Amino acid sequence: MSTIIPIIQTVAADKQGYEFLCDIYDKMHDVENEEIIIDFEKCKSFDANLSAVLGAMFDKRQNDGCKIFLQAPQSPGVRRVLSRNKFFRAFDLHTENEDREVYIDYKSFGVTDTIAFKQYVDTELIQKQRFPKCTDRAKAKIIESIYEIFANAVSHGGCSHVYCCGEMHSRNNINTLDMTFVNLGSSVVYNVNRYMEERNRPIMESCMALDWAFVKGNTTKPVPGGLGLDILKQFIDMNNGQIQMISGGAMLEIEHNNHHNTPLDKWFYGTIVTVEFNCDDDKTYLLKDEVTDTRNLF
Amino acid sequence: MTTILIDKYVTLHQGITSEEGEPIYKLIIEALSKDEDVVLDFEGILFLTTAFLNVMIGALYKDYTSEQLQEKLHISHINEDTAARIKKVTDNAKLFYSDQDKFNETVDNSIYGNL
Repeated sequence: MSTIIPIIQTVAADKQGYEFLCDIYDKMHDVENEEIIIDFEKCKSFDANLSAVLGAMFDKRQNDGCKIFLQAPQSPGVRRVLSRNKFFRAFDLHTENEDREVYIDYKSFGVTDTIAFKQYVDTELIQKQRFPKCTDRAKAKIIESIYEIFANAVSHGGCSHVYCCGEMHSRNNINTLDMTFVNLGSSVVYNVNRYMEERNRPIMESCMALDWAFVKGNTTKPVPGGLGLDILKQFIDMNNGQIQMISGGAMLEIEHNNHHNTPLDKWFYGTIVTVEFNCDDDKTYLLKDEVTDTRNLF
Repeated sequence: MTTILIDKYVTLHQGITSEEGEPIYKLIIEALSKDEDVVLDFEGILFLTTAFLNVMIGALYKDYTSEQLQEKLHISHINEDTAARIKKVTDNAKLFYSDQDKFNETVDNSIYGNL
C-alpha cells in the first residue's frame, strides 16, 4: 500500500504556501507502515527555499521508518530548481542541470555538527564570493547573522537536525540572498508558553509569542540569552533586508523594524526562519553601542 | 595565572553554539574557584556568537559579581567585534542575574506595554 500526497500548483513562501506545507506534514504524520509518494506532477512553481521545509519533513518520516519516494516534477522550472539546489540529490533523485551559482545547496546538519555548518558557510557563501559589492563589515554582519540563526535553532529547538538552503536573486535591482533554516523541534510558541506556564504568566497566542522571541533579553532558558534574534533584527533593519519566521500557528515578517503578524490556519511543528540579505550593502556598520574599550568588558 | 587560548577549544577559529562555549566556561570556573587570575586569549579567533559567549562568559555572573570578574579576568588579542559582542553579553547577564523579577518586568513591558 502507498499514500500519494500531491504537491499543489504553486508553493510560495506565503500564508497559503506554509499552510499547504503544514497540511503535508499532517498527512505524512498519519501514514504508518505504508510508502509515501510525493507527487510533483501538478506543481508548476516551487520556491527554492521551501525545499528546506520539505527536506526536514521527509527526513523526519524516513527516520521514523517510512519509505518516501519523490515523483519528479513535469514542470521543467520546478525540476530545475530542485535539481540545482541539490534537493533531489539529497533524496537520491538524480537529474541534470545542477551546479547553478544562484542556489545555495540544500543540506542538513546534526545539531552537534557545527564543523560541517561552518564549512558549508565557508564553501557556499565566503569562497563563492556571494557578496562582491558588500563592505567587509557588511559581509561579516551577514555571516554573523547566519551563525546566530543556526545557534538559535540548535539551542532552542530541541531538534536533531537543522535544514538549510538558499537562493540569490534580484529585488528592485538589488542583489539579495535568501537563506532558510528549518528545524522540527519544539516550536517557538511551545517554548515560550512552557516558560510562561512555569512562571504562572498568561499564555500567549502564536503571533504574540513570535514577537516576544525577538525582544532583546527574552529567553526561555534559565541562563542569560535572548540577544541573537535582536542582533539579527537590528542588522536586517540597516541592511534593508527582511526576516520571516513561521512557528506554531503564526507567520511573522519583519522589515524596517515593522512586525507584520499573520495567523495561520494550520500548525507548524517546528520553526522556519528565512532571511533576505541585501548583498549590495555598502555600509560600514559602526554601531553606536559597539565598544572599543576592552578594559571595561565585565 | 591561567591562560585559556580560546582558539584551542573551537573549530575553524569560530565559536557558534552554546555547547562549544561550555568547556571554556568550566575551565574559567575551575580557575576562579582556586582564586586564580584568568587570561582569555582570543588570538586567531575569527568569530564568536552571542549564544557561545552567553555560556562561556554570561553564565559566570550567576556565581561572580561584575567587580570580581573585572578583577580576575583579563583579555588578550581581542578584536573590536568580539569585544562589542562580549559587552552586549555581559550587560545582559548582569541584568539577568541582578534582579530576576525586575528583568522579567522589563522584558514583559517591552511586549505587553505597561499593563
